[in-house]
Amino acid sequence: MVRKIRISQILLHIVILFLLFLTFFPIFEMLNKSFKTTIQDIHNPWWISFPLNFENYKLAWSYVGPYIMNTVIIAGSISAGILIVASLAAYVFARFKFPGREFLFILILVLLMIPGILSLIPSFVLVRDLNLLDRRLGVILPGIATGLPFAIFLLRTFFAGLPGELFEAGQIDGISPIQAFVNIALPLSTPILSALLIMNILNSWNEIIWARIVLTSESMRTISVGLVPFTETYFAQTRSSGPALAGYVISSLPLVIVFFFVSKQFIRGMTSGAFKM
Amino acid sequence: MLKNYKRYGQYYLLLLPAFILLIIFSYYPSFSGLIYAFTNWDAATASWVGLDNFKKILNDRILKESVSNMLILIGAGLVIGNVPQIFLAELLFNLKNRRLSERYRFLFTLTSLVPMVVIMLIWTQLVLNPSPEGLMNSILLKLGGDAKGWFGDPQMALFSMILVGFPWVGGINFLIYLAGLQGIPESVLDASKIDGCGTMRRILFIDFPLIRSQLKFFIIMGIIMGIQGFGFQLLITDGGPGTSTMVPGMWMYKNAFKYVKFGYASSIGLVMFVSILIVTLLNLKFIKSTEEEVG
Repeated sequence: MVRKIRISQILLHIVILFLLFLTFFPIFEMLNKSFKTTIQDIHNPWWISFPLNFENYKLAWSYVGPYIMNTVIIAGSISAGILIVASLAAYVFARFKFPGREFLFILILVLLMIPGILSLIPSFVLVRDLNLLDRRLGVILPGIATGLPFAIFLLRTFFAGLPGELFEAGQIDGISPIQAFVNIALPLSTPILSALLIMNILNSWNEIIWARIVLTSESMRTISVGLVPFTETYFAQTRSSGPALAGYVISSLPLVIVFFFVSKQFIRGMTSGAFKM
Repeated sequence: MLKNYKRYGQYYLLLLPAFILLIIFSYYPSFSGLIYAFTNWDAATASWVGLDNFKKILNDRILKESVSNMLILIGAGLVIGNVPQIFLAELLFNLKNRRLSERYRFLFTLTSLVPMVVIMLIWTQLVLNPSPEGLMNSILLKLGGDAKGWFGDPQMALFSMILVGFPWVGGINFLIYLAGLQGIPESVLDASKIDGCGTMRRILFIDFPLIRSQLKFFIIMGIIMGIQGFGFQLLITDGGPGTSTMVPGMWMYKNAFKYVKFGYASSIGLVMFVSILIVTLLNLKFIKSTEEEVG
C-alpha cells in the first residue's frame, strides 16, 4: 500500500515536471537567443553560446524602455481610477437609501451585458472629436469606464456584506459618510480591492485593440502595441532575432519582478472567490 | 425634508464621477453604435439606409467564413482554457508534499505575468517560425518529417493559432481551479476516504461539482471574449493569409478603419452585440435553472 502511494506520487511529480518543461522551454529559448549574435545563432541555435552578447539589450532598451513607461502610466492610471471611482459608487449603493437607487444600479448592471465591440467605432469617433487621439488620456478614460461596471458590481456585494453595526456606531459618533468609507469600509476590504487591482492591472497591461486604435505615434506606444513593429523593423534591418528577443525579455520583466515580491498577495487576491458564478 | 435632500445630494455627488465617465464613454457610444448601424456613414457623411447593411451582412462571404473561424476558435479556446488547467490543478492538489506543491504553483502562475503579446511573438517568431530554423520545424526535421508553414500556410494558420501556448497549463484559470479544489472541506475528503472512494471517483463526484461555479464563469467569459476578441489577428495575422484566420471583430475593424465604412462596420458590431446578449441571457437562465435543481 505504502509503496503504491509512493509510486503514484513520483508519477505525479514526473508529469508536473514534464509540463513545466514544455511550458518554460519557449521562454528559455527566448532568453537564450536574446544573448546571441547573428553568427552565434546560426552555429548554435538552441543552446547557450559564450560570450553572452549584451549589445542586443542595449539596443532593445532604447526602444522598449519608453513602451514600458507608457504601459506603466496607462495601466496604473486605469487601475487606480477604477478602484477609486468604483469603490465610492459601490459604497453609496451598498450603504445608503435614496430615491432612484435601484434604477441607477440597474443602469450599471445593464452595462455588464453590453460588450465593448458595439461601441468600438463610435468610441473611436468620440475620442477623435474630444481631441484625445494619440494621447494617453484617450486610452485611460475609456479604460476606466470599461472596468467600472464589474468593479462596482463586485464591491457593492462586498460592502453590503459588511456588518451594519460598525457603520451605525460610526454614525452615533458623528462621522460623515466619507469618513466612514475611508476609516471603516476600506480597511476591511483590502483583499477584494487587491484582487480587483491585480485583475485590472493585468487586463490593461495586456489590452491590445483599443490601445492600437488610439495610440498611433511611435512615442506613445505601449508594450502591446509597440513590440510587433519593433520586431519587424529590427528583423528587416539586421536579419537577427537577438534584439527583438531582448526586447521581449525586457518587456516581461516588470510584472515578473513585481510577482516575485508580492506572489503571496497575488495568489491570495486571485483566489479570493471573486471569479465564479 | 430639506435636510433629507441635502443628504441625498451628498450621495448623488459621490456617484457623479462614475456616471459622468459611463455616460460619456459607455452609454453614449453604445447608443450611437445602435443608430450608426442603420446608416451608410463613411466618416464624413451619414444617411439613413434602413436595413440595407443587414441585407449586406447576409451576403457577406468573408463574414460567413469569419463566423466559422470564430466558432472553431471559441470551441478550442473553451477546451484548452479549462481542461489542461483543471488537469494541472488536480495534479498539484493530489501532491502530498505541500512545499513542492507551492513551488510548482508559483512557477505555473509566473507565466501569466509574461505579457500576452510576448507569448504571441515567442510562438510566431520562435516556436512556429515557418523557416526550417524555427523551433518546431527543427524538431520535425530531426524526426524525419517536413518543415511546416504554420502561420504562413492558409490550411494551418487557424490550427497554429490554437497551438499557441501549448501545453496550455498555468496562468490565472489554473490558479482559480486549484483554489476551488483546496476549498473543499477536509471533512468531506476524509469521509470519502473512509467510504473507500478512490481518487478517480473523488475527482468525478466530489471535485467536479465543487469547481462547477468556476467552470461556468470561465465558459461564459470564454464565449463572450471569444466573440469579441481579435487582438491576435490585429497584431499578427491581419485575418490572413487570405481569410484563414479572419474573425467577425477583425472584419468589423477592417471595414471601419481600412475601407472607412463605419456604418456597415457598426452593423456587424450590432449583430455581434445581439449574439453576445443572447448567449448571456441563455446562460443566466441556464444558471438559474441548475441552481433551482440543486436547491
